[in-house]
Amino acid sequence: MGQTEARATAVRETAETETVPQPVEMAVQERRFNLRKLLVVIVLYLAAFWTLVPMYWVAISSIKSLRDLAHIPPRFFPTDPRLDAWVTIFERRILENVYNSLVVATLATVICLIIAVPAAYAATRMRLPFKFVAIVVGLMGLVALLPPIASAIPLFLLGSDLGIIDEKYTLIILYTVLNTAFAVWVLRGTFMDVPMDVEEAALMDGDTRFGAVRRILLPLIFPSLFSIAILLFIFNWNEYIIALYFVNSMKTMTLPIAIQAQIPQHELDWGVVSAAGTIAVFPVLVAAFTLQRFLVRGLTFGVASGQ
Amino acid sequence: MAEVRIEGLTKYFGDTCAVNQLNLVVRDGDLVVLLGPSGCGKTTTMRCVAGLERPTYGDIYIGERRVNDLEPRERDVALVFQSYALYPHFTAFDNIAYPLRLRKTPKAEIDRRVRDVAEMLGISHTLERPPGLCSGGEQQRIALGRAIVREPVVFLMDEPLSNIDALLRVYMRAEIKRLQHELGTTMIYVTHDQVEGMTMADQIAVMNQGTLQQLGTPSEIYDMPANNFVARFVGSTPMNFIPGSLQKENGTTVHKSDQFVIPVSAEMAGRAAELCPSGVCTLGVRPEEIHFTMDGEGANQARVFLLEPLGSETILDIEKEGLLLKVKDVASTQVREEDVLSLSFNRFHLFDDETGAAIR
Repeated sequence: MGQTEARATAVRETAETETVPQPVEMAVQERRFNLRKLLVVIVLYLAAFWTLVPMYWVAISSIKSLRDLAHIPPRFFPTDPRLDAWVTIFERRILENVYNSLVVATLATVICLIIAVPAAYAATRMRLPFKFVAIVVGLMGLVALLPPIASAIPLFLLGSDLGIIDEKYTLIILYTVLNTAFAVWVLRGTFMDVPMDVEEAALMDGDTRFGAVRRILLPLIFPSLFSIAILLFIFNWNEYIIALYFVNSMKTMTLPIAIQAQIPQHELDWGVVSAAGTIAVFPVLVAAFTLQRFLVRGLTFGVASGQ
Repeated sequence: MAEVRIEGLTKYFGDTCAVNQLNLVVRDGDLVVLLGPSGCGKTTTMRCVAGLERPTYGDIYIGERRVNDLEPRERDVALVFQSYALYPHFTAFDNIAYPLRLRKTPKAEIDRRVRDVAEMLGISHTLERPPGLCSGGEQQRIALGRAIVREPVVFLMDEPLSNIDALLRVYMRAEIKRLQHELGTTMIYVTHDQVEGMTMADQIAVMNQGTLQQLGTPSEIYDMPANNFVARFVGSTPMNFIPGSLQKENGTTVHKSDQFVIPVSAEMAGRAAELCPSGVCTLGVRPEEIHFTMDGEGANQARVFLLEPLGSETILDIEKEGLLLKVKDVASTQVREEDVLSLSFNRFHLFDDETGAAIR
């Protein structure tokens, strides 16, 4: 875009401070050549390449023949694709592990949010002193701060005393507990971004406190809430160390443990492990794509005010 | 429609006293402006009336009902926030309709009432848009519409005009006053802008540091300020203050300061003797009550140090021995900088230095 044109846009902008920017003008601005933007895009593509290549590698390894798997230099495209590994993995009832993981990760996420949303609401809206909130949430989060291996052993001892080892609900409880502090802290920030005024306006308009939260606050923070839910789900879906202690049988075995179980003492079949890995990555990918849509929405969804 | 009565309202936040022993009656149908600098307790007072804060002590009555323990929704008052506090995820229509929907108003009636209000406020064209796509002035009106549509018994306004530009503000304050007159609804209007207070109010309640300084009509507040705070706070060009003391000279009482000797009427001197025995008091005089001649005679002479032309009038900044006075003159003033003027003080007030209270 030429200088004159840029100046014309600037003039138009100052003249229209009271009006809303027109779509046409925004399009013009977007088309402007921008070296910085180009660099950003290049870096992003490199980063995407960096993360996507391992996923691609796992996926193609699951359909490679043994010869291709062992080939040096490594082959980027399988020459002789086959589904043996996938047959094996389904024969080993991987779908039951997927089911276990889904149940545990979903329920732990939902329960965590059911606890964390009211807690975060109280922490931001009830005029509690910051120190008090920080200490309470800090204590809640203390277990999660330890390296998982350090907390897993005492938790396991506790669990075995209570006789609740090898139960799905035990995993659900543990994941919920470990994530709640994190969820409260993030939600607290989210709630603080919604001006108190908007909620008070609802009270003045005749709503109850609960109604104001349900009809005004929650819809406003929904994109953030959804993003947090997906993050929690991914944490739970990928959790390995605690599950390692608390899973004893197929009844409770979650995917990360199942993948580990595909690695026998002798004769490692990379194809089978890769197939299991592909299955494990799939929901995370779906979640990430949904998350991305909501993250963008969350950023552009400003709370209107004259300030 | 209702009267609002505030009796002995006191509100503490922790150890901080935001409002102290406030008594105020807002008559049915009146527009009362709570005026004061930020942190003076005016917003807290209004929030107590709204039900968003609970009084530490004292009672609030709306009509005959004591509302201390009622939730905001049970009080039937509407509040317009400084930030407008519109619901960004609703359209303008849904914003205005929200209070009606909560009251389970039939759909057809909601539709009719929202459109009526939108028409009255001139925002019919914005109804389908979310507030984020409306201009500041439109957002302001949507917020007003949301308050008006449910026909509350009391309107509360928390600095509703402070976020819109100066030109629109002048227009909107007349608009709000007109609306209030048309609807006849009691209104409590909070502002720190004394011009808004003067132009809109039936009664002004001037507050400072949590206490009510004076309650009166705009002209009472302007012409008979109860103390030096009110005198200082009200008036576009602030009142001039001359510290000094009352003394007898040749049988008459004068207010004598380092700069001026100003004769005080016998009547005022009598009251001063009674109310302020020490005689130490500050003389306050509005810029339009200082008259001057350019002949260089008379006792109270001072030098013009700066001219501030305002178009419709000119403010003369006059300096004498460290004391700065502002004097109003016509736009086409003959005075130039560095001129020496003889001043005479027409109407003035005396404020007891110890208490700050006006002597009258």
